[in-house]
Amino acid sequence: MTAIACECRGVSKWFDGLGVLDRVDLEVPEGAFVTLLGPSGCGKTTLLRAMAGLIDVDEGEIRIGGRRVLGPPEGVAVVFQGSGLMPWKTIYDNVAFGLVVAGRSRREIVEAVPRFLEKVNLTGYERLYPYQVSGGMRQRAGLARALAVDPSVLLMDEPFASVDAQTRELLHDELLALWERERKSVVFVTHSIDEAIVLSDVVAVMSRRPARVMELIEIDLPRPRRERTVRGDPRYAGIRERCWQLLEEARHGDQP
Amino acid sequence: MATSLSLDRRAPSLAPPPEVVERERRRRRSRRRLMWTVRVLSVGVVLAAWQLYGARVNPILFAPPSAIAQAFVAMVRDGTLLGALLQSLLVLVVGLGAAIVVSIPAALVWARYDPVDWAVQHYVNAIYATPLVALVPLLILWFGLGFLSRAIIVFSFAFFPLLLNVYQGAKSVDRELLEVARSFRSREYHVWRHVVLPSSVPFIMAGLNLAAGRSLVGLIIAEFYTTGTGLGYLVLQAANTFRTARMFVPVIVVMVLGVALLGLTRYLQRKVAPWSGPPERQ
Repeated sequence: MTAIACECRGVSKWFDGLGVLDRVDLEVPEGAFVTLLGPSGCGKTTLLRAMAGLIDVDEGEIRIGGRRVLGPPEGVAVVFQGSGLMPWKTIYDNVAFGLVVAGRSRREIVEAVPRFLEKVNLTGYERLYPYQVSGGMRQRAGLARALAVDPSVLLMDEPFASVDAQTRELLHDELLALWERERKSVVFVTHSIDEAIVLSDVVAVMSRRPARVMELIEIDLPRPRRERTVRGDPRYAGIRERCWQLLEEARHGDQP
Repeated sequence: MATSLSLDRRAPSLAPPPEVVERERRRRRSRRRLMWTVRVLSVGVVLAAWQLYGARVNPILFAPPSAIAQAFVAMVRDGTLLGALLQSLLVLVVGLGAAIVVSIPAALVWARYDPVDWAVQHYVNAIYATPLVALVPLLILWFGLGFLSRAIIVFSFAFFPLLLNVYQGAKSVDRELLEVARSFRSREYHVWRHVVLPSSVPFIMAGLNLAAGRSLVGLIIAEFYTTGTGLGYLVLQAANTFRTARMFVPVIVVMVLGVALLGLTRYLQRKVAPWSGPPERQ
């Protein structure tokens, strides 16, 4: 049995009396890429933020690396939807941010940052400010910043939602290549079925709010994957159809 | 028969040809020349009109540019202008400087800690809503007619615009960035150093810009009310003796001082906060 990187047990959350999460159970095996897929506003981002320790849950518990989450946990890094880069820092300093606040030595930082910039293909852009680079580059920098602290769990909140379709495809392939080399445990939030299938080992389809996990769909398409090869796979259409049906059910509120 | 469109496989042309560069440069140069012509003309027309009209009016009521220039030379020669300018600058530097040093940390703490906010918000609002000029006689009563009093008046004029701007800045820190800092388990010091302070810089600069203007108002008022020093007193003295040309000289000096201060704060903003630069790309 593989170890569990992150687990949610009966997690519930209300905002102003409105249920957002309803007794969510979820296990993320170590080294797995798990996607939370659900209709817009269903609470998947809330679940991710709870995993990141940015909000408290009202009931149940979340454990990461076996330890209960009661605040931003060690060994977890978040990639934010809006990239979350600081506009007053250069790309280099943004990528270095996690290392700086973790109190790493200058030598370590100088050694690590260029390495991670290279991993996300940003070498040569380190002196530019976020407003000077494209949205795709900003997201790459946000990813590099998260990877640089060497997290065991990577939480990604719709990181590619605001980039154009071609860039997104490119970023998918880059993320796939990166993940296939590093095998970090990833929880990825998206509302795009295609994105979920292309990237994940497991897709957790969530109901509309208050959200719970309706079904776990294992994506056993071969790796290494690339967006185009995945979409060309004969099983792709079937998986996509299944996800569609579940999301339709979720939208209409029928429980499976 | 199917036709296929042929692809354009010529090598990309990298640099524009010299005649295109030259044309572009000529266009820019002629535009710049036009701009300066219009500017000089605009100043010339106003000065000429002023001269023509001013020379025909009672010199007690108005003064033409030529008379002002004569008065300027005279006041520089006898040292009154330079002396007054230095006295005013000293008050300005001390008052404005103290306002900057006190208001920025005060505003940041006020914005970041709710209990402080609850404790002081109403006082700040009340004082800010009060026309400070009304408090000047009281300040003089408390601090006398000397330098201290003038510096405190300048301070109080500059303090509140700065305080409120910096407060706004610290309050409007992007929530996502605060979460980024938290998610990396930043200590409070790092949150300040990397998020709150830098995101407040454009607001600090805007506050400085406002405060620079307000501090000049405070300066002149302070010099009107207190004993005979500075540019404000020169204005008052010339007005009381009906030497109108001499009255315009310190007014123009204050005007130039104001323009210079605003230019300086704008320059600083570009230097210190380059990211707040081209706003359309924010």
